[in-house]
Amino acid sequence: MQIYNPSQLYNRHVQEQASEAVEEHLLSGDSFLKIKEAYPDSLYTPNFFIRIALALLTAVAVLFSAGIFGLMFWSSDESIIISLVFLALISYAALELFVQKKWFYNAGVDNTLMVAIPVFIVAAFFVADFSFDTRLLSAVMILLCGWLCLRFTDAFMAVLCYVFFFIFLFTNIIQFGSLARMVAPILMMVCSMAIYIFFQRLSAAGSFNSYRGCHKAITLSALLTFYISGNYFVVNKLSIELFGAPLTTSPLMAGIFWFFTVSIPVLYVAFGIVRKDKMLIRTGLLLIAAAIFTVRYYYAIFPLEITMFIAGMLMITISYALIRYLRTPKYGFVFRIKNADTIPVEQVESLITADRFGTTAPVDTGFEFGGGSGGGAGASGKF
Amino acid sequence: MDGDLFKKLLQENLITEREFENVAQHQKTVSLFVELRSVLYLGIAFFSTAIGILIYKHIETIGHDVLVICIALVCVACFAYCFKFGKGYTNEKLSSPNFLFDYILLLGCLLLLTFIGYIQFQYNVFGNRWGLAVFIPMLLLFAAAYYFDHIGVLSLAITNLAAWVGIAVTPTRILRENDFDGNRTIYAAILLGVGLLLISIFSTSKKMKAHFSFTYKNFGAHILFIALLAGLFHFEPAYFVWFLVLACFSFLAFRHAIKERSFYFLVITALYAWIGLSYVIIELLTSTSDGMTGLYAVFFYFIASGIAFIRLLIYYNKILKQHANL
Repeated sequence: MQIYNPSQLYNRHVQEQASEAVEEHLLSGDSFLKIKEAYPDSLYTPNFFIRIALALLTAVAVLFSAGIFGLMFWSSDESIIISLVFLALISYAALELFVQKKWFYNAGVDNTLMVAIPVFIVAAFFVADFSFDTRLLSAVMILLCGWLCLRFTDAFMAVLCYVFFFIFLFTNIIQFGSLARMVAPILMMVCSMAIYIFFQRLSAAGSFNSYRGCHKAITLSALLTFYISGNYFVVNKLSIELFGAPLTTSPLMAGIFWFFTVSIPVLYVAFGIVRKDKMLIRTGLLLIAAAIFTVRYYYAIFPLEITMFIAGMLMITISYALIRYLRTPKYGFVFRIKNADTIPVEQVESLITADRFGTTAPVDTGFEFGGGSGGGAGASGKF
Repeated sequence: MDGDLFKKLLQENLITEREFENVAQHQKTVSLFVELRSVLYLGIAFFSTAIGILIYKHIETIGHDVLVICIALVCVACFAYCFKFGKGYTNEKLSSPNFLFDYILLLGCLLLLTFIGYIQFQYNVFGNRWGLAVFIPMLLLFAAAYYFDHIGVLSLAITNLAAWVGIAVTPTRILRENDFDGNRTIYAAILLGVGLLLISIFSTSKKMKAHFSFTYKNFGAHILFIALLAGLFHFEPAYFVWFLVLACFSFLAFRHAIKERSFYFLVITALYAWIGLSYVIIELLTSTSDGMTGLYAVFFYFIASGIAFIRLLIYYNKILKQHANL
């Protein structure tokens, strides 16, 4: 079923683990070379910057190919739909060809082609007089993205498949009368939780699996959908949008969703610390911010700048205290400064700094105060 | 990290006992480096923004004099800290004495900019000589960047230098806030780009803070490429001359990227060159053929050139692969 040989993916995994260990100065370069020889990597993944450029150039080529089809078959809806499906097929054929002949693996070209396929199909659905059916669309997308994920062991396709599965489930549940609508958020939460536990188990069992990346991506998505399904803002707005009346009118329902909104992020962080699970900690931190925004949306107790002042002070104090505290390992946690020689974080950081605080060009207007943006990039890093 | 895997590698005699122990030891602890630093950085951003808004709203009650003095005091305190703990100037790369040092230096430099901007805005210290109000902080920033060895401050200094010349150069502003239709801007940008590239070469050859070379080169190359493209788009009748200049510079940058084995410069050179080439070819195609034929030709050109550049990059990726570098 999968296009790659499991041993190819395994060798790649070994090399990645080994290079990570070298970056942390745990392995000597000598051993790394030995490992590289014993587990040769036959997959083709170029340098990071090259990958970005390849993805861009592929997107240009695909878009203009679509443009040529558009110029030729602009006559009727049917011909447009047929040409879109045809384009999706061509993209798929090209993808298969590149991977089988050259073993492209996250090389930029294959990623763009893979994304192009569902995009063309969705576009084909939209052409049909906008009378598309969400349930049909999501069912088709589940099958399509699911197949791409299985065939190319691609994590992004796994996420897409999960998202469409979620939409499919939700749109079906709300068909079953008002009671189903009432409990829909809870059902979606239960479903997310079940999927989280299932994939967590799946990736824990056995040491290596070709779909590790996909499992991780799905567990992360499940964590997010678990929170989103119970978030007061989402439930309130979505029920008004879809059912005409908010689900959160009764104090009991409102209380339940407020409880979910505030407690889930904290629980994530707490569980993450107990189980030493970084994904839980990071997601929890991110969602704490989401919880604060949700509360502020409905109850603006303090003006924005006071909230930011307090939050900023708390964040600085807590993180600085923890950084000092974790200089030496405590309870299995540590603040280990990453070696800056291996990653050019400095360069990236310096650019961001110059961008956010740098002087603007012609200085006729003088300096303005209070114009700074406090957005920031959120908790960065790979999941 | 995958513990079972390293056990297997040990059994296969690919790693030594000690290396396995290293990994096992490493696995016992989880590093919260990224998490804590992100929270700290965001906290600083929130805090400083909140202070900015608060001051802005209450400026009438605080009074400008008090505020200026406060900014100056904190700024002086930051620099005092840096002078106390800094290691002094050398031509080589310095590691920062502690975790906070870099942030405090950065804060001091940002406050310095605020201070000078403030006294100019409020008290008009430099009168109408706006250039001076940018030139002085620029000198101080360059001095701080070299003395304390801080790439972030160097980037600030370069941004100020560009502001002094009259253009905005940071990533989100370079296209939005510059009037690249003005001849003056284009020529100023070209001079600035060439100047920065020369400083970059000088830093490496004289071994004077050689690790700053990348920052100069990065700013210089982007500014020069964008200025040349702007020239190409702007000077309608003479566009071929500009294209030749762009081609020459692309060639030099390309050779440099190959020599330095820099994937990054290879990619940006290829992309800028591709944009320039595409512009010229579209001009030629649309001026020689009419309506639909021209349109088809343009579309086919983009498909063909996209594929050609993909092949080119894949080829050079293979060549550079031996010695990976930024």
